[in-house]
Amino acid sequence: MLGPTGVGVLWARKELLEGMVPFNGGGDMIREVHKYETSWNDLPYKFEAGTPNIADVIGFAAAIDYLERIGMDKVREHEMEITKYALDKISQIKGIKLYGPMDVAKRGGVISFNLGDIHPHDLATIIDEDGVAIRSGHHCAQVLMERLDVSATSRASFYIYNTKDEVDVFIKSLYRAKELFRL
Amino acid sequence: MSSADIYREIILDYYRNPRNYGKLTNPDIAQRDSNPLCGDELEMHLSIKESKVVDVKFTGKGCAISQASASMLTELIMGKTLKK
Repeated sequence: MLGPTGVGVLWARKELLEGMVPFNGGGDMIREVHKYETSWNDLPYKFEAGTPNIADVIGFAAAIDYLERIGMDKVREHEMEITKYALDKISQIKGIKLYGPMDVAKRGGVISFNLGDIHPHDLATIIDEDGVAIRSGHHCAQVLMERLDVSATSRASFYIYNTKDEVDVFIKSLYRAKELFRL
Repeated sequence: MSSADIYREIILDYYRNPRNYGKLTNPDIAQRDSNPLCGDELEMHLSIKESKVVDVKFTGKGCAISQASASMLTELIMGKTLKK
């Protein structure tokens, strides 16, 4: 969402949040404290103990305003268009293994893949030399890696700031990695 | 061919054709470890006789350098005494 790190939003049904006790103690989350009883403040303060992450929250609000000005439908439209463009190109590479549905309407703006027997960490290192940053590894999903019977995967992600020219650089870089590994 | 190319050739060769890859049936020492940061896994099996490494095998998953270096290590320690 283009916001700062270390800040996020918990979106939940009010009646459920009202039934929950605070998970953290500190300033602002209490209403009254006595020797044998305590009552909690209203939502959302009940869950926001202590000094909040003020600067990042303000930064996050700016990110939300920015995305709303663009329009989330436009964000999704661009994401689908560029992901489709990348999928069409990457699926033509011999030795590529793609994970997830091929229908862009059914996937987010990411492509998980493997290229031949190149380990994703090697692949990420090689294409980084061309200025292309991708994620490689378990993606916090080791059980899924076991299920797919792979040691790891590479993952390219696209967003509103990415262009088709950049996808072309990415694809070209994959061909270079293939050459280096004699695939 | 530059020296970097030659090193790459060697690493690629060990990655594709790892020496001493596999497991020993009755290893005297078996040790497995992983690196949570990058997900590398290695398992080393050693057979020891009179304080000497008489056999060594490894299995693992990881990038070319991690697997090639593990394979090179097995070649390096084969026949050496534990002290060495």
